Amino acid sequence: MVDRETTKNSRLDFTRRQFLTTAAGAATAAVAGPLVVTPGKAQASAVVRVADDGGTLSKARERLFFKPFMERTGIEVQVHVGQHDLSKMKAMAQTDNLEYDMVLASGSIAAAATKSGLLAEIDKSKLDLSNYMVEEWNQPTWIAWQYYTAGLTYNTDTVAEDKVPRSWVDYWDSEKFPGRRGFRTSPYETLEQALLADGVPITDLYPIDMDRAFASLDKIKDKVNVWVAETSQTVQLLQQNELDFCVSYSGRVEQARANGIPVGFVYDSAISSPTAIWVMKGTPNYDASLKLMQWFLTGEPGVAWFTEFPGNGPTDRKTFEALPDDIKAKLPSFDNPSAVWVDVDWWADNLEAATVRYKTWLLS
Amino acid sequence: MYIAHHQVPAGDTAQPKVWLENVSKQYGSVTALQPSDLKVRSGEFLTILGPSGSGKSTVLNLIAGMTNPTAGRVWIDGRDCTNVPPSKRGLGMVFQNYALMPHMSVFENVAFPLRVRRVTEAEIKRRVGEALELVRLPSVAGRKPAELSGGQQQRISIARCLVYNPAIILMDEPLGALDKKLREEMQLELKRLHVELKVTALYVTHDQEEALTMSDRIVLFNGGRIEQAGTPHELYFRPRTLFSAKFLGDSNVLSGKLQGRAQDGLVETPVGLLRSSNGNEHVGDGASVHLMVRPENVLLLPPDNKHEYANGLEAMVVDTISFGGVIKTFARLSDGSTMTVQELTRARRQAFDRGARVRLAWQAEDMLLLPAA
Amino acid sequence: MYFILPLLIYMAAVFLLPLLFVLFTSVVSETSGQLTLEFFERFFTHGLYLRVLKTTLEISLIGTALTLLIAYPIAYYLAKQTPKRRSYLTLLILLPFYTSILVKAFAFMVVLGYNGVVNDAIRLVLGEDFVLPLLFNRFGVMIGVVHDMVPFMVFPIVINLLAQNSSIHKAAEIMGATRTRIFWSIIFPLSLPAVAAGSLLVIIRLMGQFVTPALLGGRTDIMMSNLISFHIKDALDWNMAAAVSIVLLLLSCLILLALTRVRGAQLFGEQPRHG
Repeated sequence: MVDRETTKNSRLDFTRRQFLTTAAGAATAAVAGPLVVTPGKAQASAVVRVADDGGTLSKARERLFFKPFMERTGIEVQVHVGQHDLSKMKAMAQTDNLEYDMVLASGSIAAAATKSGLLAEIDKSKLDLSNYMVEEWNQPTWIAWQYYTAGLTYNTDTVAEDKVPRSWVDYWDSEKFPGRRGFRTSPYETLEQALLADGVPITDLYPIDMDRAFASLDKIKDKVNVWVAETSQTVQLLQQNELDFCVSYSGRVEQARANGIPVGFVYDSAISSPTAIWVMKGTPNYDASLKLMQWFLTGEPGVAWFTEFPGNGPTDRKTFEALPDDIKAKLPSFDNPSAVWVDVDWWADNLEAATVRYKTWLLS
Repeated sequence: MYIAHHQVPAGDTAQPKVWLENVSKQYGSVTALQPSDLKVRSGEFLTILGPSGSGKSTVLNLIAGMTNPTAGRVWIDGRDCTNVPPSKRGLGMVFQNYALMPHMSVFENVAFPLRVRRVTEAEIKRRVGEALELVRLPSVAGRKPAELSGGQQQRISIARCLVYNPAIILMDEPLGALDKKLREEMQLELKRLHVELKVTALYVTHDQEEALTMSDRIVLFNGGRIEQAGTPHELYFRPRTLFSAKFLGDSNVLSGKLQGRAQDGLVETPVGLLRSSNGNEHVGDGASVHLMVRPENVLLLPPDNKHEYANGLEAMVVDTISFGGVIKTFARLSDGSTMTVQELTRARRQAFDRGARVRLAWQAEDMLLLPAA
Repeated sequence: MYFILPLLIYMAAVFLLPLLFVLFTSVVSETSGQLTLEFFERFFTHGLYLRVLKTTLEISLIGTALTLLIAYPIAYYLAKQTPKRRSYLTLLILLPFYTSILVKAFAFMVVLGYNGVVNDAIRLVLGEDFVLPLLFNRFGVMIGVVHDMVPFMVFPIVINLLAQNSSIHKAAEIMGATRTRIFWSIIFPLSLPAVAAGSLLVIIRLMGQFVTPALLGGRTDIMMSNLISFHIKDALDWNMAAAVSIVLLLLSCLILLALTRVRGAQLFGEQPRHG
C-alpha cells in the first residue's frame, strides 16, 4: 500500500513537472524555431519513452542513436523493449494509460494505428524534412526513417548462380529453377510477389487484384515445401539445408552473410516497406518526441547505422549520399524501376480481409 | 477363552500340502528366517503365530512365491515349487485389506480366477453362485465391493479363494481390519467353512486368541525361527519356553534354582520351595529355571486354610478387578513380586478386600518348569 | 468458508472480469456499439473458421491420443523404479518444460530435418534419393506437441499407479493371472481416472496451442489460437477475436464435461465405507 501511495505521488509530481518542462520547451522552441536538434539545458529533465522491439538491433539503436541523443540534448530516453503491436496501443489508449510516447515499427502498423485514431498529428513545422526522399512515406501521423526489403533468398551452397531465380516469374517456375521452396504464412508481400510473377507491372500493383494474386498463388501452391511462420526461421531453414529458396529480409540476410552463413539475396524486384517512427496521441512528451524523431530522420548516427546494418536504407538524401558505395550498391534505389515499394495504406485497409482469404486458401 | 480341540485329520505320514524344507531367508546381512522345517498337513488349519518381525510374513511370502528362499526348498502338493512364480503355484490368498478389485462387481471379483482358468461362462455362473452361497452372501453379486461392509468384503475375498479350489488358502491377518465383535463372528465363520469344506488353510496372525480359537495346529515364531509347534492345547498348557508361555495367555512367572534332579521338580525360589510335576528336557539338574502357573489355576484361600495343594504361598491382596465373567486378583508375595489369580465370578464367592492376607495355592501339575533364558 | 474469499476476489478480478469483457466484446460491435451476433455468424458461415476449428480438434485429439500412447509406458516404467531413481528420471521428463520452442524446433531439424540424423540414416541405407518428410507437415506437428505434452500426461498416471493397492495385483497374481492380464484387467482400468485427468490437461492445452504447429507444421496446420492472435494483434478486430475465443472456450468446456463424465463413471461407486 505504501508503495502504491509513493508511486502515485511521484507520478503526480512527474506529470506536473512534465507539464512545466513541456511548456518551457514549447516556449523555447517557439523562440528558437524548428529545424535542428540543439543542445539545450532547458530540457534537462525532459523524457521520451520509446517502444522498441528488443533484440540485437535494439541494442545497436541504443548505442548509436539513443545515447548520443541524450548526451546532445539532455533529454532522457527510456526504451520500452518488447512487443508493441496494435492491440497493446489500442489497450493503452482505451485505458488512457500511455506507457510510451514513440514507436519505431513497421509502416503497416503505423497506417493501421492511424486508421484507429491512435497516433498524434506530427507538427511538420517543427521538423526539417528538406532532404526527405519519399513523399508517400511522409504522412501526417508517421514518417519512415528507413526501409527494409523482402526478397528471394537462397542457399549459396546448394544453388548454382545460374540456377538462382532472378525475378518472381522465375521463382514461380519450378521446372527451370528446381529446388525446395519456402513461402510465408502471411499475405503481406506475398500477394505482391504473386502479381509480379503473373506479369503485373510494378506500377499497376495497387490496388492489389486479390483474385488474380490468388490465381497466381494456385500455380505454385503444391511446389512449396515449407510455409514459414516465423521470420527468424527464414534464414535458419536455408542454413539447416531444409530449403534451397525462401523469402527473407535483406538486413537479416546481410547479417547472416557477415556471420559466414551461405545465403544470397536477390535485390532485383525485392519488395521494400517503410520502418516508421510515430508519436502516440495524448503523449505528455510531444516536443521531446519530435526532437528524437528528427534525430532518427537526419541525425549523424544514420551513416554509422546503415553501414553497420547493410540491407536497410535511409529515407534522407544526405544520409544516403554519405554512405560508402558498396553499401549503397545493396540498396534498392528510389530511381530503380525494378524496386517495389509497398503501399502501406492499402495494407492498412485490407490486411484483415487479405489474411482471412490467405489462410482460407492455405487450408484448401 | 475357547481352545480348539480338533482331530488332526492326517498324520505325519501323509504327503504334506506344503513343506518348507530347511528353508531360510536372508535380506543382505539381516536374517528374516533361520533354517526352518515346516509342514502343512492336508486339510489342517495351521496358524503361524508371532509378534511382528518374527518371520511369519517371510514364511507366507516364501509359500506364496513373492520371495525366493536363500536356502532350502518349497514343496506344494509334492511338487518342488521353489522357483515357480506365484501365478503357477495354485494357491489362494486372503489379504487383510481384502484386495478386491474395486472396479469389478462382486460377481466379477469371484469369477476372476475362473476366467483366468478359462472356465466356461455357464460353469462360472454356477460356481460363483455356489461360492457366494458358501459365504452366505448370495444376493450381493451385482454390487461393487465399496458398497459392502468390511466383513462382507472379507467374505467375498474368501469366496474368491474357495471358488477355484486352490491347494491351500493363505490368510494374512484377514480379520485385522475388523472390529472385535465382527472379528469373533468371522472367526467362527472361517472355522465353519474349514470344517465344512476340509480345505487346507495357513493362517497368519499376531493375535494369540485368534490362533487358539481356530487352529488345528499353531506354529509360534520368534526372532526368525520356530519357537514351538503343536496343538493349541499343547501350546497353552505345555509351553516349552518362557516366550511361549508368555505369548499365549496370561502367566505368573517365578525364578529359582532346581534342588536336586530335574525330574523331581523341586525349586528353591525367593518366596519359598515350589514343586512342579512337569519335567522339561531342556532343563538340566540343578539349573536355574523359570516356573510358570496360569492365573486360572491358582486358588485364593483364607490365610489359615489347610489345603492339599503341593504349592502354597502367603500373600496380601493388592487389587481386585472384575471383567464381568471373571475376576482378577493381584496379590503381593513376600519378596514384593505380584501374582495374578483369575476366578470365575460367582455371586457367593468369598471376597477378599484390599490388604487382606490370603493364601495362594496350586497343584504341582499346573506348575511348569521352563529353562532360564 | 471465509478463507477462500481472497481467492474468490482474486479469481473474479483476473479471470471472471476479463472473461466477461471477452464475452461482451464478442456480441457488441466496436464500431456501432450495437448488440450483434454478426461475428459468430461470420465464424459459422465463413469457411476459414470452421476449417481451422476442424484442424484444431484434429490436432488436439490425435495429439492427446499419441501423447497417451507415449506417456503411459513412461509412467508405468517410472512407477516401477525406486524413489531415488524415479526422481532423477522425473527431471529428464521435465526437460521439455525448460526448453524454448524455438530451440526445440531447431533441435528437431537436426534430428528429423532434410539433413537430419534420421534422413541421413535412411539415405545411407536406401540411397541418395530417399527422404522422409518428417517436419513441416502434420507428422512434425505431432512430434512437437507430443514432446511438449508428455509431462502433463505422465505425472497424473505415475501418481495413480503408485497409489494403486499393490495387494490387489498380488492377489491377482496368486489367483493365476499373467502380467498381461493383471495389467489389462486391473492396473489399466484402475488408472483410467488419471488417464482422463491427463488427457483433459493435454487436450485443453493443445486446443490453445499455436506456436508448435506454426513452427513445425505444414500449410494447413492452422490453429484457432493463430486466428485469435491475428485478429487481436494484426487486424485489431477484437470483436472477431472475442467470438473465436468464446467458441474455443465453449468447445473446451464441452470436452471438459465429456471427460468428467468418463471420470464419474470410473469412480467405482466409492461411497464412504460402512462396516
